[in-house]
Formats: sequence, C-alpha cells, structure tokens
Amino acid sequence: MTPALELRGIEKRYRGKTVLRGASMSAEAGSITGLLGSNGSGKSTLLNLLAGVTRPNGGGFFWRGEELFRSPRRRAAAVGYVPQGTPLMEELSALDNLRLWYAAPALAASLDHGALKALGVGEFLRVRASRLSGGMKKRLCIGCALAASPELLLLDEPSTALDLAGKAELLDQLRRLRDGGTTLLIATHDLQEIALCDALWLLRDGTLRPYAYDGDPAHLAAELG
Amino acid sequence: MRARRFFALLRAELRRAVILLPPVLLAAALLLGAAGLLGWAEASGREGDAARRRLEIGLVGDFENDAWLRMGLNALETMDSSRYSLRFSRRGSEREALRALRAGELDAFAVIPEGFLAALEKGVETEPIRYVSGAGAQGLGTLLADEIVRAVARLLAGTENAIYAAQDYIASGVPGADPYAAGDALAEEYLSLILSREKLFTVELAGLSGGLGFAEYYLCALSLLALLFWGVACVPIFAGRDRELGRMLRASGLGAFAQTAAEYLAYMALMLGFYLLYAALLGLFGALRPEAAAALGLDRGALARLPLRGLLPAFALGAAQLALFGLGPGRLGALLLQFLAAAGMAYLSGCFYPASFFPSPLREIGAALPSGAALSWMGGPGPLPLLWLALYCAAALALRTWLRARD
Repeated sequence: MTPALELRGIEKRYRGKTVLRGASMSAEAGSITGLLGSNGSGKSTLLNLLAGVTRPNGGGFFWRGEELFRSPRRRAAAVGYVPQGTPLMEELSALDNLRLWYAAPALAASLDHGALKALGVGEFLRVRASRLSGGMKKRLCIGCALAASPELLLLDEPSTALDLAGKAELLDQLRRLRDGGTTLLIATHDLQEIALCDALWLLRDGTLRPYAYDGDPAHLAAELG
Repeated sequence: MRARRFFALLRAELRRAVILLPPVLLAAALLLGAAGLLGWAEASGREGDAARRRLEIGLVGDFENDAWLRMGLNALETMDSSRYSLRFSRRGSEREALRALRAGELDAFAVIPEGFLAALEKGVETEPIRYVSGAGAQGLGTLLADEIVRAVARLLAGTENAIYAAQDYIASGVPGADPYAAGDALAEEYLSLILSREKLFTVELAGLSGGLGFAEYYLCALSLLALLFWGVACVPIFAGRDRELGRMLRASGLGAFAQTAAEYLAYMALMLGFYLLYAALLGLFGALRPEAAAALGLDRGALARLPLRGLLPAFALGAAQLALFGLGPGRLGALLLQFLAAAGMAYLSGCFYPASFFPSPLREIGAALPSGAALSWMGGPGPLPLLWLALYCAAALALRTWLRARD
C-alpha cells in the first residue's frame, strides 16, 4: 500500500544550527501518526515546514504522490495546521474567530452538520474567546484549521495545558476526525496521545526513525534522551 | 480564497480594535493632554532661557559706510550682557538671510535700505529698516526695538552735547557769530532729520517651518503630538500578539505581507478616525469660540484647516508605529518603546519648542526623523518631505512584514 504522506530527506538549518538532517518518514491515509522527540528536537520545526510557515533547505514533501513544497496553493488546501498555543483573537467571540476562516455559507453548513458540529463548537459560539476553557479553545482552533476541509491535519502538542476532562474530550475529537478519513500528524510527548496513535516516529539528532512504544514510559524516556 | 481571507482578517482586526477602542481613546486623550501641558510648560521655561542667550542678528543692505549706524551696532553689541548679548553678521542678500533664519543660524535679521542714512541726513523720506524675525523669537522684536530706541537716545544725547559744545566754541571764539542762533539752527536741523521719522523700522515675522506663525506652528505641533501618542494608546490592540495566529494564517496561504497589509489598513482606519475626531473638535472650538482663536493669533478657519495637513504624514507615522509594535518584546516592552519613540521624536522635531533652539547636529537629526518630515510637510507641503514620508512608510511596512515572517 502506498503511503498518503511521505517526507524525503528534509533539511533545515536555523540560525547556524542544523535542526533536521535528511529526515524521512511516511504515514497512511486516515491514520494518526505521532511525532516523538525531546524538547528542542525539531518537532515543531518539522510541522512548520509541512504547513508552509517556514521553508526547508532541502528535501521533499509528498501528499498522495504530489510534491507540495513547490505548490503552496495546493498545500494550503490539503494541509490544516493547529500550532501550539491558542491562535485566536481573544477579544472576539468564537463565532467571529470562525468567520476569519469560513465563508458564511460554509460556516452555516459546518455548524449544522459538518466538522464544527462534530466538535461541539455550537455550544459556545457567542462566548468571547478569552472566556473559553482550554479544551473549548483547542476545539475551536481545530475547527478553524478544518475550514478548508484538509486531508492532512498537523497538530503541535494539542493537549498541552488541558485539564483531564478537556484532554479526554480532545482525544475523542481526534479519534472521530481519523474515523472520518482525515490523516493526522501529531507532535507530542503526552502518553495518552501516544496511546491514540496508529504509528510513531522518533525524531532525534535531526533524523526520523519508526518507533514502537512498548507501554513503558521509562523506555520512551531513554529513547528520547 | 486568499482575497476572502484577507478581507476577513481586515474585518476581524477592525472588530477587535473597535472592541478595545473606548479605553484606547481615553488613554490617547489623557496622553495628548499631558504632552500638551508638558510642552507648554517646557516652552514657557525656555522663553526665559532664550532671553539670556546670545542672539544672532543678520544685517542685509547698505551700512558699511554709515559711521553712525556702525556706532549704533557697536553700542548694541557691547551693551550689558547679563540678560543677553547680540552679535551682528553681514549677509549677502535678503534671501540668504531668510534661509539662515529658517535654518536656525540667525534669530533675526534687519534689512537696511539702500542709502538709508544718507536719506536721513538729507531729510528725505526713505524705506524703513525692516526687522525680520522667526515667529519663535517673537519677543525679540520688542527687545530689539527697545534697544534701538536706547541707542538712538544715546546718539541724540551725544549729538546734543556736540551741539552745545559747538555753541560754546562759537560763543568763545568766533567773532560776529550768534552762538545761540547757530545752536538753535543745528538742534532744529538735527531734530527735523531724526525725530520726524515716525517709522525708522518695522518688524516682520518670517515664520517657522515653512512660514507658519507662532500659534499656527504650535497647532501643527500639537496635531503631530496627537499622531505620535496614538501609537502609545494603541499598545493594547496591536502589541504583544500571539505569533501562532500569524503562523496559522500563513499555513492557510495568507502570507506575512498580506497580514501586515490588513493590520496596517485596520490601524490606519482607527488612527484616521481618531485624528479626524480631534480635528473636528478643534474646528468646532474655533467656530464656537472665534475670540479664543483670535487671541491666539489664529483665524477661525485655521483650527479646522491646519490639523488636516497631518492626514498624509499619519500614513508614515502609523507604519512606523506598527513596526515598533513588532519590535517591542511583549506589551510592556512595546509600551516603553512607543512612548520613548513618541516623546523623543516630538522633542527633537520641535513639538515642544522650535527646533531652531537646538544645536545644529540635533536639529539635523530631528529634521531627518519621520516626525521632522511630518512637521515640515505640515508647515509647507513640498516634494522633499513627501519623499521622506513615503520612504519611511515603505521601510516601516517592510520591517513589519519581515518581523511577521520571522515569527
């Protein structure tokens, strides 16, 4: 079976330091793939490259066989990105934040029977973003990232700073997205998120290799260095 | 898609700004009021200093061969310097003197008409000496007039002494002469030559920064202060923003330049709204209280008209402020940066008192700043300040875009 996502030999130098040196990996369509690595290993950098926020110094990014580093427009349509933190305008309501990403008819449709309905965003549409809980904010961010109906969704440490209830809610939403056919690539070091993943890749010394988690956090910590 | 997202971002920026506008407007009003008061206090304090400093007076015209006039000038230069001192320098032409006055090299200059003293001696009417001052040195007109009157009085007394001496000489030694009739004739002739002149000199104001009067200049300076301190007031809206939103927008295809453009348009809409409100309030004040405007030396329309000259410079200052928002680390850093930039630029560019009071290097720095170009434009629109403003605007937006792309 041909993987939907392929990264080939990605290079990235940042302020004189080589962060990624020929990183390669692949992922199946409709799966959740975890990207593991210690702090500063380059996970966020890799996601930023795939999202088009920064440019690589070398390598290829293929989605269903199509090179996306050279096609920003196609990449913007195919890839959704939820960075770490809360990329929201905190003074605006949830609805106003969504209006930044959705055209009016698409917003109505999504709230009625689409991804936003599945995410339960309708519960807090009129609430100012600064007053939402961490879990609600994260659901809202994912809702924003899904505006263009991307086939690949990149999430950078999605459950950071969420309480237990918020985290459970979020993981449930990620599972539903996968079941709906979306491919997810998650940068994480959270054990619950790791447990959710169908495949894991370990980023260390600028290169990627497949990793099989045996359920022992001590082994994982040793691998991460 | 990108165009739709651009306008959606612009709308969101405007919405966000409108939500935060009331406290921002209040902060802007407070800052402007405080800056105006400080400027007034500073300018008042400096007026006293100015009266004690050396005053550079230029002289233009025919005076080299006039011994009396040279004597009068010497008297002025050597008079009591505990309050101030005068120094006279010859200037080739009135145009050169005017240029030197505007550049701050002179405090004033006097134009002595061709053959002034010769005409005076012959009892022929002549053009008056014109005394041309910058508006900022308005007090100098009275000051110099006073000193000239003193010098003339001294000359008169000296001449009278000479007349009496001549009278004594004639009485003691010239046979057949009537010393009293000769003395009376001399005194009468002298008085008819000198004292019959009602206007020996007139005072003109060449103005500051392109010919503005004193009150007009400070009205422009106050308007510039309003624009400069708007950046400080807007810190809650535009500074310390989450970088993640910018990244997510870039991932969706809306690049750093488009984001900067949307942000700039939103910022300018707010800034111009605020500034037009400020100009309208001034215009209303001028319409309702024309006597107050007249007391300041302004015509009724000036209060409405002059601030409008700040509309174009607002685009460059707005861009510079937007760039500073990106440079400040967090909201507190941006607040400090905006405040220091606004206060520094206002000071150096002559918002608190005319830049001609500064030493030459500071004056050049002040003129090269965006606020200097703005004040120059407000004083008298021209291609050079316009070019500077356009360059500053482009450079500031490029810097903001670069900072966004680095986030």
